[in-house]
Amino acid sequence: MSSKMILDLFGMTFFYIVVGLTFMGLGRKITARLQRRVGPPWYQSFLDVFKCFSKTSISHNYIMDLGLIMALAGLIATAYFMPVAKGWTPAGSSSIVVILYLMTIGYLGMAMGVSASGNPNATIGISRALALMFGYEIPFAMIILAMISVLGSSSLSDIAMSQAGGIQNWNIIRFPLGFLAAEIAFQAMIGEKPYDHMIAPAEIASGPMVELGGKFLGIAFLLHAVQLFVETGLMVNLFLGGASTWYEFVGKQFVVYFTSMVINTVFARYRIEQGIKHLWVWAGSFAAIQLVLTRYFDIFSR
Amino acid sequence: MTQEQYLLLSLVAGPVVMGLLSLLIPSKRAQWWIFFLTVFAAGATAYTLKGSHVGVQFALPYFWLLPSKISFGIQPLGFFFVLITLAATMMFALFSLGFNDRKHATRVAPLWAMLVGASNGIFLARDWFTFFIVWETMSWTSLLIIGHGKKRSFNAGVFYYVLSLAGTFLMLLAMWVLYKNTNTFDINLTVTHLANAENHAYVITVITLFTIAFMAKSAIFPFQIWPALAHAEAPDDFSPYLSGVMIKYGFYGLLLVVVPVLTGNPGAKISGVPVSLYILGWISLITAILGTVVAIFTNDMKRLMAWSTVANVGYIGTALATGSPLGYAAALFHTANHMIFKGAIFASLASVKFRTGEREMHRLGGLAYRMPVTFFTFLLGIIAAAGIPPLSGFNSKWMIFQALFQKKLVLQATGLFFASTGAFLYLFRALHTVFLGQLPRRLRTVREAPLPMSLAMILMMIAMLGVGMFPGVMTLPISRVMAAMGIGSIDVTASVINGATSSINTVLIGSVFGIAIFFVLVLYLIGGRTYRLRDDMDNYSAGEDPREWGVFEAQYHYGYKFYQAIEPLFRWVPQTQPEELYRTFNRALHRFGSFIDGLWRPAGSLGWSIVFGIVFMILFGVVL
Amino acid sequence: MDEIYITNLEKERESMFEGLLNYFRKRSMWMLYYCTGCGAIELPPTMTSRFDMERFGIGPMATPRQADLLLITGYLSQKTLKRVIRSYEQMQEPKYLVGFGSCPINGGIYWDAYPVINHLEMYVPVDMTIAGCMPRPQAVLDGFQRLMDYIQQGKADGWRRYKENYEWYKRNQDELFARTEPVLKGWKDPFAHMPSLEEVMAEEERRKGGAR
Repeated sequence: MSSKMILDLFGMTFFYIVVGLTFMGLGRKITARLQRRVGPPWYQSFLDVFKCFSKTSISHNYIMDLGLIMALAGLIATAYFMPVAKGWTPAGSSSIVVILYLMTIGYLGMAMGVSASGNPNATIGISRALALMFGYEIPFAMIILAMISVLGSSSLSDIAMSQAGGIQNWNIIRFPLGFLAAEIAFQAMIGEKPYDHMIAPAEIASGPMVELGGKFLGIAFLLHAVQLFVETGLMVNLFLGGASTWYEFVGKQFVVYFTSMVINTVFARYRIEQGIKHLWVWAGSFAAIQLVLTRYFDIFSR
Repeated sequence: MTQEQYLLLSLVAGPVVMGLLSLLIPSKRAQWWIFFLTVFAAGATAYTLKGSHVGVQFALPYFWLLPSKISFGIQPLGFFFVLITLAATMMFALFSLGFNDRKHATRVAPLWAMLVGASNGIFLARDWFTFFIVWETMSWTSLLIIGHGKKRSFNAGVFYYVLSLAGTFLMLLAMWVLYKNTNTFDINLTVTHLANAENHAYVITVITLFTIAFMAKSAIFPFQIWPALAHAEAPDDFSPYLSGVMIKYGFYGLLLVVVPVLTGNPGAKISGVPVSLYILGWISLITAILGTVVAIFTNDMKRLMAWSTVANVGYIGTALATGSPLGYAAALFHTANHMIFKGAIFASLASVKFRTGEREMHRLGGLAYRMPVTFFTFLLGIIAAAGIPPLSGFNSKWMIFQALFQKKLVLQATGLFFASTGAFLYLFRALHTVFLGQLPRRLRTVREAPLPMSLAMILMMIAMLGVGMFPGVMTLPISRVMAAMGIGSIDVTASVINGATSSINTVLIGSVFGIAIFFVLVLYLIGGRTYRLRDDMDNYSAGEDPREWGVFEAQYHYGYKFYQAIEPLFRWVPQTQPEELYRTFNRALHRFGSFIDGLWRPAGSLGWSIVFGIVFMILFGVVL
Repeated sequence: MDEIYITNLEKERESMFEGLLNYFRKRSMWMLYYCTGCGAIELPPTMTSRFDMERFGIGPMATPRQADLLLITGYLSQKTLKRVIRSYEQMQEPKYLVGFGSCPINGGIYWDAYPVINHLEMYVPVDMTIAGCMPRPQAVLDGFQRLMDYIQQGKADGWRRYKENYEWYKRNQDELFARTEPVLKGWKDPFAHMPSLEEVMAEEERRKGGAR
């Protein structure tokens, strides 16, 4: 590992956090505008995070500290494997299975940290989040499998690069049903309505975040920011043709996030088993049809 | 005989003899020490034999009736299994040494020593006759160990034994057919004979008989029920061995017979996979999904992990059934990894049970604060089991997926994604319910596991991390073994695995993760002051103090029916309780017995059953 | 009521970043509203489209651990005070407490009711009060902006006063709680015979010391 790479990694970490926090601020602004409010300034999330880190915090035991550190580190490490522009990744490799499984170390860390706080609300939130993961991972995996079976490569950079040369090559055109399924799954992935069972402030007191205060809450905010970067980036690389420059990448990410925020604003929440059923029935069947058509009938692929 | 031949023979006979001798010693502790030393001696012997190709053959004196000589020999695949199983067994032996203190000691040490000898025998046997003898030795010693003098455990053991015996009969039949056709018991010769046989139906029949026998041993569907009983009821320190080592004999058998035969004689193919392997792949996938879903809703922690073993067996089977070098390598690699991580998980659960005496998860909680080493062993174990980098399980799971991508078996891969996502659910459930959350007051005095147990668990953690960061430790020998067997090889180095559709560098993943941790640690340290709460009940509870309502730590712990919200979604899965099936079987047998007895009362109640049994056996023989 | 302690503001400026941090604190206030009385009904209009308090960075939060601002929206009875104190103590510093409406100030229209507390500031430090019965959203927003000024100037230091004068507050609280003790003492701690956490820790320390 060269020193240039380490510098890249540090620089990119700030980039992820800045992009993610800006998106969060803009997301609140979008919601506010849709509700005919002025809304907070776009940099509100930065203020929130700085304030959180300036407060005192409580931790119940060493596992809580460890879990949250592991959570943010896991997601940042995942982001290092995300191709940004022209298939370039800070870590120099982008196997999609690595991304999908490395992401879960973030979720595991978060789950572990908040479970260690000993609050049943937190654990109920985690049990919902894991159950929901059962719902969205399967459709998402099916779409990725469809792409791999066409392309013969499970590297995300290769998938992004294969869509170069105009909008007609984008996977959103080539895998329309797959995109629909992925969009539904994506909504559940970032935990926006109608799949915000995990947070559900009115039911389980914001679920996993119930015992987090001060810098732990700040870390949870950063976690969400990096998660937004990774998951919107996944959508951009899988469906929206990747990007040739970093600002094009961020622009496309914002389009994905904007769509999801609009959906978030107009929907209410499902019950947890309804949510999973909905994901399996709709996202699952779209993805399954796409997979079978692509793999066995060679339709939609080229 | 040369010195090497003696050493080889001592790998099998040594532990058996030591086991028999230690039966004479009255002290339990002394028996365990002898077991521990025997296992280490066997490990050292195996290590000195590395790289050798020695074989030994002799006729058993006084057994002139036997049709064949006894023969053992070192072959690449078998010896690879000997080395990894002995390495794992050494850790388990160290663990058992700590576990069997004055209060918990059982009398299974001599039997276990004999089992270790039989296990080596299985991997070293060179003819079917020897294979059968050591296979049966393995079966009955493990039956007695699982029983360990308790009625409930013995029933579980009998269930396991009956299933295993059913498979063994089929294996015997296959051996007999092979002997009829080739007039030899030699494993290599018979496999070559099958690989070159003209009549494909004959090959498939023999292979199916073997496969069913090995499926019964490895708990592949429809034999998936016995682990839940046997693993759960076995002595706690034996469960790691049962789940880590013993469940892999079936895969050794499949790799020994089925894979070489189908490499030479593939027959019809679906998606580039021989049909019989394709079917095995789907059966394994069903095993993986069934094991996962049942595990999610299981409350007994040992039983939960037993179902998880069933699921992992399903992964290995699915990988094996891709019929490609990458798939075989993935299966072997996952076999080795599962040995360690499931061993570590069962070991940490054993130390929980050692200190608390509880097996129902919801009665525990918060033990991580009192037993850190046990907790970290369990944590790393579940990270590996869930296939999260940078631990060992990820590398083999990644290879399994690559093998499926290579053959474009997308439906199987979807099923495997389902199973491995489900794995997060049950693994986290166990982590939370046993180790996190609230620590009940009656468990506040619990202490960390004793030194030998902790040491064994630390060794297992190092093994998981080491194989996770440097998979070459395992993949390079696996590649050599496969090349020696003539079933292809894989493209690996110490830290890089090149799959079919992409490659990973585990050291890179590990160091990138390290840098991310460093970054977050800095962030954590510049944040505001942290106060550590001494009272776990000082928790958000809408302003109320739960204690004023008679709610204490034990009740404030969310553990029972963890996934109740999604239970309705899984009504379609047969949530078979193993005991129920066992009882049904028992009742049916009783009814059948009474029916036979009732045929003609005057002959007495037992007589007719015996007569019927003998007649049935004669008829069976005639038909054959 | 004997005396009220006031801390020396000059002493508090220990950090050179305090001004900057105060800026973040005032621009991002997360509130936890304690809906005991009628005041909470004024908050939805303040939050939603008409008045939109989110433009100042003020938003609702679910638990005291996350919140900076505790709103006592209405009258407090002697029994609910215990919950308020528990919530306030669970909040992370710096934290602010706002008495909302006239009831927390002087009891309001319930001033002569037997269970109602007339002076909230005797039991927990109040950083600001918003008078009115109930205060309209305009008044609420005005109050919050005043609080933001106080935070910037470092005047909203109730959490420090609470720490420094804890004995005084505790004494007042205990006096009150003595009156709310249940007459029928029913329940018994089923684990009373088990050692407490402190005893276990002490035992462990002792054992470690012995080993060393």
